[in-house]
Amino acid sequence: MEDHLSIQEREISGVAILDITGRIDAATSALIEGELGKKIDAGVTTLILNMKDLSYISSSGLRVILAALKRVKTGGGIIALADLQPGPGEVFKMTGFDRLFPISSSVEQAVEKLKP
Amino acid sequence: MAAYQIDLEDTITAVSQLAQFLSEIIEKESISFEVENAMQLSAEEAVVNIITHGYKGNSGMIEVKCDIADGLATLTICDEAPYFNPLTLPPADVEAGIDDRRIGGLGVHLIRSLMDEVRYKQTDSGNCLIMQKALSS
Repeated sequence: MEDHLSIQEREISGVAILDITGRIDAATSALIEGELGKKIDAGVTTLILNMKDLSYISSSGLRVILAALKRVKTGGGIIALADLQPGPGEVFKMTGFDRLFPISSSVEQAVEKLKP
Repeated sequence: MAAYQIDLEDTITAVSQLAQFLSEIIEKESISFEVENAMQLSAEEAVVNIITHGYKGNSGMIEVKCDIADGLATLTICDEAPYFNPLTLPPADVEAGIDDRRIGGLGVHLIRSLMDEVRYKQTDSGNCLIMQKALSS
């Protein structure tokens, strides 16, 4: 079982991307909360979360990314999601979060939509 | 028929212990991905609610049973917290836009959406939540 979470950051065409690997649950959500907080504190308002290797997300994770979305929106920014897998995809759909975040099938597509 | 049980006493490690416990059952019983996701999520949401609201972050006993029988996965999660029936909570508003979204409150909504049947039972010492899902779903 992939029971932990790791997050790597990179940039394509000036758009910040966080590659998320593993599980976002109540035990690991503080890690992504910290990473998102650092980015937003540093002035980043446009961000892509690459969820290709995210196997699981619970409401603790939803809470964290919704809070981050609310913060960047006040500065006119956006958080987009890319490459959602079936499990997390179902959670986003069931909670209506798929209507709060723009969702792309790949990071490249998300970058095309968001690049300055 | 297979019956599994774990007692979670340390609230800090409860969620990762629970995930490990369930993933071992899922592997052993060859449970489908969809049922696995439903079991992991419902169990986590129930346990997190007990820790956060029932025990208010303090330590307390949480007993998790998982029965695999008659084509059903049954999760029974019991605590010794003050009486509270989470099924009395109103449905979450999943249609609301970002400005009206409350942060949190989605755990019980996920449990209701993912499981086929959810029941609440008061015991002499606390609460039990019983959640069932067909293995064929």
